[in-house]
Amino acid sequence: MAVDNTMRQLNLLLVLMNSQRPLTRSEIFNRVSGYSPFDSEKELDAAGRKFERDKNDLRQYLVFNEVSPSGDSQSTYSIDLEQSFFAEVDLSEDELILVSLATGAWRDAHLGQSAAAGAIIAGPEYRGGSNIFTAIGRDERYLKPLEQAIVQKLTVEFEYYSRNSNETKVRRVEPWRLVLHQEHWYLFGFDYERESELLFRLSRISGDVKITKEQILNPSPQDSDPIEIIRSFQRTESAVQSALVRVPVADCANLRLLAKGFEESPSGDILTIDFDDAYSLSREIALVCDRVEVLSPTSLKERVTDLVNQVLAVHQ
Amino acid sequence: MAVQFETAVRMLAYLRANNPVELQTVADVFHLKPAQVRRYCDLFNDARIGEFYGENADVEIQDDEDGVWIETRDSLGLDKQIRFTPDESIAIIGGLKYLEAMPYLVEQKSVSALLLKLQATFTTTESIIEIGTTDVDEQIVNILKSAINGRSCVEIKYGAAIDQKVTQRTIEPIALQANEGVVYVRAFCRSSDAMRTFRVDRILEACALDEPGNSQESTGADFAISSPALETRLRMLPEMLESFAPETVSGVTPVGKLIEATVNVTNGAWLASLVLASSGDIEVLSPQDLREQVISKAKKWLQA
Repeated sequence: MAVDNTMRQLNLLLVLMNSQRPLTRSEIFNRVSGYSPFDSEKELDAAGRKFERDKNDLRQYLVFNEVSPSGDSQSTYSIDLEQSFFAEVDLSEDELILVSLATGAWRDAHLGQSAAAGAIIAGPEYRGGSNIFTAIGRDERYLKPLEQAIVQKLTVEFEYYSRNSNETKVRRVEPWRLVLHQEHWYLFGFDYERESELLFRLSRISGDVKITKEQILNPSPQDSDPIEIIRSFQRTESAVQSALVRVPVADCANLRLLAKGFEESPSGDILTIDFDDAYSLSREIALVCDRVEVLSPTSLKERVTDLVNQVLAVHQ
Repeated sequence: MAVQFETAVRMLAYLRANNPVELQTVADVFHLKPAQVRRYCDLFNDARIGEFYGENADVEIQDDEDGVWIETRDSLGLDKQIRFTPDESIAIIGGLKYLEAMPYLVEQKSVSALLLKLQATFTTTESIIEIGTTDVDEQIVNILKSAINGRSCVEIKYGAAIDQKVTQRTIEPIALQANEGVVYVRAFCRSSDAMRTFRVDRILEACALDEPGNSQESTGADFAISSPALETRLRMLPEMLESFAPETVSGVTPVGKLIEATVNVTNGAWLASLVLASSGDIEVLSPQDLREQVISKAKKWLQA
């Protein structure tokens, strides 16, 4: 039963914590209720198996020392108290609020199941102590298995849709880091297909993420900045140009947000927009093409016309 | 109820560190029901470490007029926070990195200093999370922050993403919120006479008003959006599915290299705009009037 196991593990923890010296297996079996009886060889084997399971469980949370000077029967066990407990951290009230905010940010993501740790440090009373609320993101189902694979340094496999080839294929990846940039989550890792580091957008993964038993061979490169890599995809090398567009009063907010200034005129506001990516700006203009006029440059106007003609071609 | 060893050890440490503590508080911290917390307390009292040490803990639950309290008398030195698991370290460090990427919400220097302090303590020091910074107008955020702290009003010009219309509103900002790297202001909107959440990066102008706010509304998170009202059938490149919230998409079927999908939207005009900017990558199959709306808007551009 789960309760019995928990009790036995608690008792094992307390016996090891409070012992002045490392204990042998038989000393532990005598002091911790839950391993007995162990009179016969069969019972001793069963107790040994329980003990092995308990050791593995404890190792997740504690630094467990096992010393075998002369064979298994003489092995001694202890807990490294210095390493096993969170060192005293003197947090100010402001820092507690930050920790509370930080862990709160994970509440809505799958990773948020670990947020209770922050509550233990900061206490639940700090959650409402600020007028700032943060959340990392919506329920992103791939975060948890990828996080697990990264921590365990294991390779993953998943089906991934590639925009370049317009096809979905199984990819094998050594996962390094999870990246949130402009409302999208990415996995940064080593891709076996391309044999190089690569970013995978999580929204293009389908099916389940399979964690394999293969350890990663390529360590996470410390000098790579995945966010800078994403930005470099988005940047263009074109020179900055200036566009003039006429929009109705109190309309075309998307273009107004891009404008560096505007002039009022009887037929609407004339916006000045600096741009280096004509494709992106032409798409923004196409969004409101029924009520905007491009005054200059002509090349931008032609780009919008091309986009609109492509839309008409599939609809007529 | 499954009793978890990890939860048991953490709860015992928590009870020692917060002694005495209300039962409901413990339930909140550990995301358990009060009855489950009682079960853990029974476990602590029942657990014995053989005859060598006697009882490991003396945990008493007291029901009085002020509520239900838990008092812990002895727990054999388990009064320290047990080591953080890699998951927990990631949650805290990742969350702090998220805050660090939003210098407009909290003071960046404090977050960076705390990150260094905790990373030196945690056993897992390397963060697996990277967060890109958010691009918002610092001046506008400062006006909103001052209004939140001073409980005053702000006049904003706001560009709605759904129809790109610009409206002027007087708002009483209540809280700044961030979700997936986007900063929002939760406010009582006098123009709508209701609580509203505005994307800060869509505020064109903000002007502090010397007018006190009087809204007593909740400061809780609210990202509710209206229910989709229009069912559409679209044909598109698979990558265009990313333009829609997953919960609004159904009936996806492949058609050669394209897909067809049913997408429920709140506003047909918004979808028409998206289709116009898609360079033909999205085609409206139904309803027919939405398809005609796309054609009519496209022709308006060509005729201008």
